[in-house]
Formats: sequence, C-alpha cells, structure tokens
Amino acid sequence: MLKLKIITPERIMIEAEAESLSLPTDLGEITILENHIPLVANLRAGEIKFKKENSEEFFVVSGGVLEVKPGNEVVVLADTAEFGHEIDVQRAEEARERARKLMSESYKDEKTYAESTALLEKNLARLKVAKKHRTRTHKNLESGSLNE
Amino acid sequence: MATNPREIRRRIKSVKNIAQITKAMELTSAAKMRKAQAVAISSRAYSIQTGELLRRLVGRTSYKHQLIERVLPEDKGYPRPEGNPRILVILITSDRGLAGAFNSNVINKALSMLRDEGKEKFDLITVGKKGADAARRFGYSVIAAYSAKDKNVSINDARPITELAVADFLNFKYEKVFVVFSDFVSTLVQKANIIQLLPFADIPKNGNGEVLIEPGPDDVFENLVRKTIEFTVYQTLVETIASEHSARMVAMRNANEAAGELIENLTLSYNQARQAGITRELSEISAAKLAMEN
Repeated sequence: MLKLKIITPERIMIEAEAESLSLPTDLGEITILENHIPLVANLRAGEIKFKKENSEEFFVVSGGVLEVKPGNEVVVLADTAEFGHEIDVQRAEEARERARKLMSESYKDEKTYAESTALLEKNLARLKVAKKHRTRTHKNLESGSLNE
Repeated sequence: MATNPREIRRRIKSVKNIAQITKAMELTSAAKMRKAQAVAISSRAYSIQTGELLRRLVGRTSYKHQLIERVLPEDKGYPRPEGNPRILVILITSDRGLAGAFNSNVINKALSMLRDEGKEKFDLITVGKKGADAARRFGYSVIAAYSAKDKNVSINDARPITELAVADFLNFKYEKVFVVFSDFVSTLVQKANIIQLLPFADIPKNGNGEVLIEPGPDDVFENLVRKTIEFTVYQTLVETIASEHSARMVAMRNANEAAGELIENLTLSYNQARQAGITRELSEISAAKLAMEN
C-alpha cells in the first residue's frame, strides 16, 4: 500500500492509502506502485488517478511536484487541485476561451504566451476531469436505478 | 479629577463614544482574525512540505543551484560589482495601526538587525504603510514599497516581491535577502521573526540514498526553488495578516475593558460631586433660613 498525501496551498486534500497512483509528469504519464525507488518529478496540468481496493478516484491538478519517499510514502505538492464535482464547467470553459484568445494575441510576447499556454492546458485538464466526473456519476445513477 | 458634575458628565459621554468604536472594531477584527488565522494555518502544511523537500533534495544531490548556494560573480565570468555586497530586507507590516505593539515589534526587530550590521549595507522592500513610514523616518533606502492587503491575499501578491528580490540576487546586487515579519503563534502571541530567503540557507550535504530526478535536476530545481521561495513570501504575508488581526482584536478588547473601568470610576465621582452639590445647597438654604429667623 502507498501512503498518499496530496497537499495544495489551501488544504491537505487527500491523506489516504492507495494501491497505485497515476499522474502526468513532464516526461509523460507515470504510475507509481509499491516499492518504487525514491523519485522527485515535476508535474504538469492533468488528471491524477489513484486506486484503492476496487474503487478509483480522480481529480485534476494544474502542476506541481511529486515526491516518492522511501517506505512507500508519496507526497504530491500541487499548485491547485480539484475534484470533478468541484469544477465549475461554465467558468472553466470561459477560462479556456480566454486563454486561447490570449495565446493567439500574444505570440510575440514570450512570457504572456507561456502563461496563456499553461492556463489553457490547466483548463483543458479541468474540463476533461469535470466531464469524466459527470459521465461517471451518470453511470452510477443508472446502475443504482437498475438495482432498485 | 474634575469636581464639576457637568464636566464629569461630558467625559463619561466621550469615553462611552470611544468604547462604542473599540467594541465595533473588536467585533470586526474578531471576524477577520478567524478568517486570516484559518488561511495562515491551512497553508502551513504546503509551506513546510516544500521547504523540507527542497532541503532533502539539496542534501542528497551534488547539484548546485544559484538560488540555493551563492555563486560569486567571478565564478560565472562576470566582473565583481563595485562597492560592498549589499543585503536586502523585506519588511512586512500592516497599512493600519491601532493593533497594539504589532507593527512596532516587527519594525524594532528589523531595525535591531540593521543597526547591528550598519545601515549602509541595507536596502529595504516594505510591505505596508507602517513599515514604509518607519524606514523613511530612520533614513533607510527603500527600493520598493507595496501596500499591505488585510484579506484575500493570493500567491499573486507575493510574486512581484519575489521576482524583484530574485532578479537582484541573481544580478549579484545582493548577497543575502531576509524577510522580517510577524509569526502567528496564537491569538495572544505573535512573534516578530527574521528568516533568510536567499540564498536558501545552509544545508548540510549528506549524500545518502539515491533519488531519481525527472526530467532532470535543472528543471526540477528551477521549478521547486522558485515555488518554494514564492510560497515562503506568501506564507510570511498571511502569517503577518493573521497576527495583525489578532493583535488588533486583543488591543481593542483591552481598550474596551479600560473604557468600562473608566466609566465606572467617572460615574462614581459624578455621583459624589452631585451629592456634594445637593448637600451644599441644602446647607446654604438652612443657613439662610437661620439668618432670617434671627
């Protein structure tokens, strides 16, 4: 079992045990299992998933740092992190459009361009997770109604 | 103490007015304090974790980052800047007063360090009007003065301060950067504190244990160091705000109690003066009556 801790500037988001953890790093998506060697990696905007027993939980991060410590301890220091149900889809869509517009306007200015790219990536990831959350909950509702 | 009843009544009235204001301020600060304390405490975990991670990582690898260990200009092929190396102090105070000894504690802490080392060596960045006023009064050179926010601080408020400090540090203008702020311990205790922001303090090298760094030390350190420094500044800002509201609430509560006591005392002397007046009048009347009878 992994001892998982996900910390954002605002709160300690998750403190739990997990069997596996998948996250987006600079070098692509990786999955951490038990007895991983100590690792420190940069995180990108994207989706983090972790499995425990038979359930899978997921949420979105906008970047951060991952640390795997000896003794199966995993700490994720996320810049921001949200669960699917916490995401305001409409605002995320607006933010995505804003970022896209800013990106096309600011191709000359390196700094703003980089910022807007990061913003776009972040909001694309948020929308993806929000969408996944919605379909998930719908499925759960359907199966719930079948049982009745 | 005044003996004229009318005079005393006027004083009671004005003390009551002051008590009303301090009561209102106590209530608003109490509400702001609760929010500010929650913010400061909830971000501590992140702040501590990033600092620890960086420290561990630096201790384990032989990688050198400019913001962690000071690199001399000649090592990088630059000429040494003229004059003595300078020190930058970021002084964090509040815009508003009436918070007991809160601002003066922070300012005194900074001034005692500046005095010990000689004031020519220092430049200041001030946050908050009180700090800027004090720096000006004592004749320190202030390179930037930001106004303080007393709520809804975000990491974006720490960014310009951090960028300025980091840029000048990398230019070899400063050899060290300190932050002087007020550490929030509890509602009753706030402690003025100095921390070294740059270079990222001394870290013992103990290269035990291997650690995989992806994509590579350059990227990870750059990301982590900047994040840590920025967040350290942010944390000092929120700690200071939590301290400010706590100090103000306590100061206002004390003022309230003092006002209550004062009103009690004044009421007592008012009653005494009034009674004395009545007694005097009575004795005058009976004296007059006696004179007329005779």
